[in-house]
Amino acid sequence: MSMFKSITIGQYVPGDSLLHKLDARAKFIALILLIITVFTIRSFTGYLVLAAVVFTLLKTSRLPLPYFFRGLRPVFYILMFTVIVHFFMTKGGQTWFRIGFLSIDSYGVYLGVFMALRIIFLVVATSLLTLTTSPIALTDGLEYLMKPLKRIGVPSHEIAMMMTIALRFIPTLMEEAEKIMKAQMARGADFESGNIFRRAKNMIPLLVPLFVSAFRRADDLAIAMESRCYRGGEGRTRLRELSAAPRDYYAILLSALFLTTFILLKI
Amino acid sequence: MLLKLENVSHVYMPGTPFEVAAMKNINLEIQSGELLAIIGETGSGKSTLVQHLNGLLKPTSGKVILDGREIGKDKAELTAVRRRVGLLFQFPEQQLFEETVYADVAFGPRNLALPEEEIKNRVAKALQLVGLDLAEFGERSPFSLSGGQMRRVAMAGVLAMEPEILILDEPTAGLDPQGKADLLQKVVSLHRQQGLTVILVSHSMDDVARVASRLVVMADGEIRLTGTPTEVFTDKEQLEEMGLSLPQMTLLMHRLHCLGKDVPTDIFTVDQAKEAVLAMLRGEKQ
Repeated sequence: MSMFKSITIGQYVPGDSLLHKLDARAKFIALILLIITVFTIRSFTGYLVLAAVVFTLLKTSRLPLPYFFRGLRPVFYILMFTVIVHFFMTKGGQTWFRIGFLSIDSYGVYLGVFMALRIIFLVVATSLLTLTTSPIALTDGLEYLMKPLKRIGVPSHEIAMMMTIALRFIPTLMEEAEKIMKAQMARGADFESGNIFRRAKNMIPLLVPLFVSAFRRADDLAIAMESRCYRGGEGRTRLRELSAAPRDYYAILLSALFLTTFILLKI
Repeated sequence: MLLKLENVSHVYMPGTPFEVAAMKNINLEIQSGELLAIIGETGSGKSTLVQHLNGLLKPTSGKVILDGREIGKDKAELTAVRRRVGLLFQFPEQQLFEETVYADVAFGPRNLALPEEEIKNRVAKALQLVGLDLAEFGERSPFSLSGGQMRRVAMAGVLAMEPEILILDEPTAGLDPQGKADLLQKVVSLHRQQGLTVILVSHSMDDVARVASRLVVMADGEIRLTGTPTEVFTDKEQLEEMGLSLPQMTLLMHRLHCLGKDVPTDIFTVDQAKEAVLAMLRGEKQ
């Protein structure tokens, strides 16, 4: 019953590859550029090139491949849904197949596969970032990049702090959910059978204790932070200073070049 | 023979960088009517072991056998297994969720689809076994109780299933000395009066030594020592190597023995120690 432990999507794997060593900010910017690239690509040739690049990055990261791909499994259902909806709903081009009112058109197939590829690349690229960057570095980088937004009243430090705390407690809450679930199962609770309403109702013995403990934890954390004089981001120094090396600039430059090439070649 | 583990191993998150072997090739037999204590440091695999005993975890390899039938082979039998083998987790007060104490204790019996009359009897009996009065506590919210009372309500929740085997994972963690003594006393009387087979999981020798009839010492996912408390405590060096210490009174007797005093070393409680020291002093006077 370790169902929560099997969710590995985006969970940081420590390492010392080039991708691990890059500054979180550089990786963030590079990722954004890569995502824009994914959306500018118009042909399958373009995706082939992108696939080669992403695969090289994956190799550089030295992440265990089976682990990486297993983490992508939850996305599979979204993919299937996208493909099926496009197959049957998007009309245009030749009609390849028809049963009653259902038909599959060539344009629908084209668009379905195209969208599926887009989703795959988005998820792969994003998990490359989260798998090689510790959550702390990630939020630190995000806070830095959001700094300019402070002028227009965006509380960038608070947002980053909230994210850090949320990320920090995900594993804790999952562990707790699993423990409570097991405790209730030991009392004969059944979380696996019945229709959707029955199942939702069966979740109450899990959700009530989970909420109670989440609120209690939040309280404890607030007191712990306050007693150590936390009062927001102003003038706060860091344990780990972000420092950019030449390789970080190269990474950004390379991704920018990559994007421009795609735009110019129109592939 | 009641419960049996045959070459049981358990690996968490196999095939990932976070893979951990929590149990390695464990063989263990638990007899009916026994009061067994499983002892080990944090991370030694003891909690993983007990979760196999009622089918919450499935062994990665090996078999868990309850009365000759392998647990987990037939999923439909799991409810029956969990009725027979009650498991109370660490900090069980965190599992309370109902509006009233009565409803929370009744949760288990309800899942067994028992008639209302039977549920009522069981709740009253279970609460009485943990020393709470149904009339006084039944309609109160479990969240309005003290920590110690909440824990007892949680324990009643498991006892209301009327298990034959009761597993308690660190039942005394976080209780004050009086609460600890009370709870252990309750467990012992359940064992003696109700004839329950009890498995106590703990990292503290002091808590379990005085009540257990047999100890199983675990380290790094393996069973290192097993035997009566007296047998296990003779191996002081190995225990210390595993990060465990003898009960304080046993340690005291060992020290006195080393100093050449004539005292028995199979002593676990203050009362026994007192008698032994008095006997020693009397002996020296003569």
